[in-house]
Amino acid sequence: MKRVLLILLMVCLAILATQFVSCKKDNSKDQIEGRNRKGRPTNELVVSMGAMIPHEFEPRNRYGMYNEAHITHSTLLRRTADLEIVGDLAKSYTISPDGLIWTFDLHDHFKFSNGEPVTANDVKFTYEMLIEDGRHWSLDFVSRIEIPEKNRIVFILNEPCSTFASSQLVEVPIVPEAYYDDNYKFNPIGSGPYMVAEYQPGEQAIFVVNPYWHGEEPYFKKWTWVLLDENAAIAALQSGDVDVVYASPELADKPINGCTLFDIPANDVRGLSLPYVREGVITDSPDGYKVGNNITSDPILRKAMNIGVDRQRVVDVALNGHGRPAYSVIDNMPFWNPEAMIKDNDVQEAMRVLDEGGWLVGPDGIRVKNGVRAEFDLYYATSDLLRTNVAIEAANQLKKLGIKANLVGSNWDEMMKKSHEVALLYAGGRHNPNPFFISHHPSTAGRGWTNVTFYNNPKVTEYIEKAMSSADLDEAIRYWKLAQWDGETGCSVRGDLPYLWLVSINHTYVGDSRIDVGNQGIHSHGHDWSLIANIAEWTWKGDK
Amino acid sequence: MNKTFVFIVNKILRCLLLLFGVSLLAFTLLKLSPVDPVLASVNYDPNLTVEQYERIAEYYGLNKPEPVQYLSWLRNFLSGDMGMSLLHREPVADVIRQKAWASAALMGFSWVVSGLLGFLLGSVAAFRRGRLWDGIIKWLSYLQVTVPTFWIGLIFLLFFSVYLGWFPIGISVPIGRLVSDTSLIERFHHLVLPALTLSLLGIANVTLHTREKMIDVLNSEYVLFAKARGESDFQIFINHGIRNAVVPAITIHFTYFGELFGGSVLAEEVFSYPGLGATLTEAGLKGDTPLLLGITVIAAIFVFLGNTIADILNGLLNPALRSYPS
Repeated sequence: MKRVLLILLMVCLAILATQFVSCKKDNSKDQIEGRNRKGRPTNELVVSMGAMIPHEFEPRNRYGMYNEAHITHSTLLRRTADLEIVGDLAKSYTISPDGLIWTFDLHDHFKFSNGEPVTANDVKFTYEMLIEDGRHWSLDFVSRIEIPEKNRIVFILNEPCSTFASSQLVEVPIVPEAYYDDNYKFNPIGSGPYMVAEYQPGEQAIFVVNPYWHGEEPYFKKWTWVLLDENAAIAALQSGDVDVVYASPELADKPINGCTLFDIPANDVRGLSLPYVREGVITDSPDGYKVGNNITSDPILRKAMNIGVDRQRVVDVALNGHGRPAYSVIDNMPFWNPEAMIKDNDVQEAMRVLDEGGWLVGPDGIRVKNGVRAEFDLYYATSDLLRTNVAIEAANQLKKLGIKANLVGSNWDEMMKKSHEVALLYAGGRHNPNPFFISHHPSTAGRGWTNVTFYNNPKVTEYIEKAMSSADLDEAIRYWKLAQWDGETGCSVRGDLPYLWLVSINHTYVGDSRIDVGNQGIHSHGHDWSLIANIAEWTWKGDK
Repeated sequence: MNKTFVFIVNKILRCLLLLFGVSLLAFTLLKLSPVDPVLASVNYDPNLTVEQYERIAEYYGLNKPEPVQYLSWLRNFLSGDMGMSLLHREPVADVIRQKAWASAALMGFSWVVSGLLGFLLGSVAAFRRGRLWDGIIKWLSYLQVTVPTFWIGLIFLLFFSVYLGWFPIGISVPIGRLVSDTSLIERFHHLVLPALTLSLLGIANVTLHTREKMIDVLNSEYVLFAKARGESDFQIFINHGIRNAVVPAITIHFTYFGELFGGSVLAEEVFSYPGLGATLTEAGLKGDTPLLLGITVIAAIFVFLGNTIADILNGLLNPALRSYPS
């Protein structure tokens, strides 16, 4: 028995030894040829953007909302990397002067991956199906859809909605009426540059070029999204099994041979919600929760906090530097007003504002006015490490100004109930003005996660209503800008400050440095889909 | 015959009671957890409107009071409908069916490996008790019991897959290969590392129990007599050891089904192996009640089966422990 075990041990050692030798060989080869990619041709890729594919190619389950539709599908309109809205399946479109009738002329050379043409009927079917489903897409403003002639489709709306162009029209993927059923996610026929060759939930999705794609032939003929847990994904990147992985900011800085960090700005913003009204003013919130906070509703305190915090420091401390300071949920969007900006990290000015406003430093360093301490509760979701880090750093910085934010670790259920009376570590950001509208319009106050602070400025309401109902999209943009700052008032950091926005998170990925990921622009919501949304434009640098 | 019938009815009743209790407990715990299943199902998208929230809640029946939710789940379950998964957006039965084979292969393989290895190591330790090999094996066993599975899994992954490159990383088929083009050998290759990790968990258990029992056997008078007749250690092992020491090993190993399932949750998580364990974790973290209950019930049946088999085998192999006349 002893001898047998000894022999086994020696065999194992021998195998290990040969393996060490061969590893060394591999390493020397790596230095010459770059990373070892396990023999994959340079026009094939493997990515791992998380252990689950969000939305799973099914529009009824939000597929398209994170800008991913153009990998496999066409939409009526398209948003370019520079945030311009241009036609996709729609050649051109017109909006009636009252904003109620939207007419689209369609291309007739778009084909699904089974070779059949994309028709106006498919568009009608897709939208009507999503309206009927009603769970994920806000399309209640569409009254009916008509096809007056071939290749023309008309949407008749109940009420004008200028954000239709920048949200649903660029997001909803067109599905084929004849091949759409409950199993669509396993056979998602679309008219984009790639088609799904096979999708195995929990394992991988394999994409190949759609043979009937009408546009420029993509460089990568085949790519796979392998569904790995984050640690396994990093290991797979090291071993060469995978070319690009998404990495949370904590893992993004790990150096890996032959790999680069893709650090892409995103419109994914974190900050504090600051209840806008005093306690007891509003007692009839639609959801029945208590409304108001005497500290956060004080304009002087809100102003001091906004100019006194060092947003860059929050980025450095809470995000390991992978982010940017944020002043609103729409920074750098086409409808953002640069005039609404302020200078932050101005502690002296913040102190002056506080002193002048009657908030004087008390014996324990916390400011007091008329016997009231500058102290409020800040709730954050403990399940989210990043939000926790931002909350802690924000509270630290506010303390230096003499304002005490009491950190309360919480969960979404409790935070919902408290959302109108305490500050929350809050999130926002999209590429369209919809969230901006609903988070500043009084009609949504007390109804869900939108206008949690009960913000209400009649002038701002007027501007955003005009913007929403405008039939001219440029005019709409002018009103969105006025709502932020019109020279006297607005809902931005220069105006009423219903929030203390702090940072926008960069989307971080690590991947083979020979991949050119094209023009990424500013990412929208959704770390997983964002980088590969334009994978049809990616190239391999070594071959050019 | 009559008593066998009573035994079976008794077992079935117990099983049903167990399933009811387990599902109720799991449901209660999940509802007490801070996870909001509707928000979790849309990845906490802050732009979800109230109307959408309500429609999603209504679609999955989450707008009803919790006891009603449980009762309607129970009614559907009894009629064979396990409900819709919020996360996968397909029937729970389909999700489980997709994952069950992967899990069965993983657990079956590692169960057999850990049983055989455990018995072998335990026997070696007993025959060499007090000496070097005994020390090494005991030490290894304690180590296996103390070290967490997911940690061992990560170390295995880094060493065998990344450093040595012997085994693939994660999932059950080669990356980028269609399922129809995948051979059985490739599938097995993907199974080895997770299965080895999982089997490590069970080896120590069997080893230590076998060692104790084997020492008892070796101290017995019939072994003394066998030695006196000149039988070698190997002959003693074959003729007397196996038969007498295998009973506790098998019993222990069947009752270990529960830990096996628990371990598979961790092993699958580390290796992104698409089985029931990884699905269960996901369901729990995202508050997917129907899926979690479905898998929990399956797991409970599985563990119950393990214990029952252990009971019956014990009876068959050792008449002294028989709880019913056969």
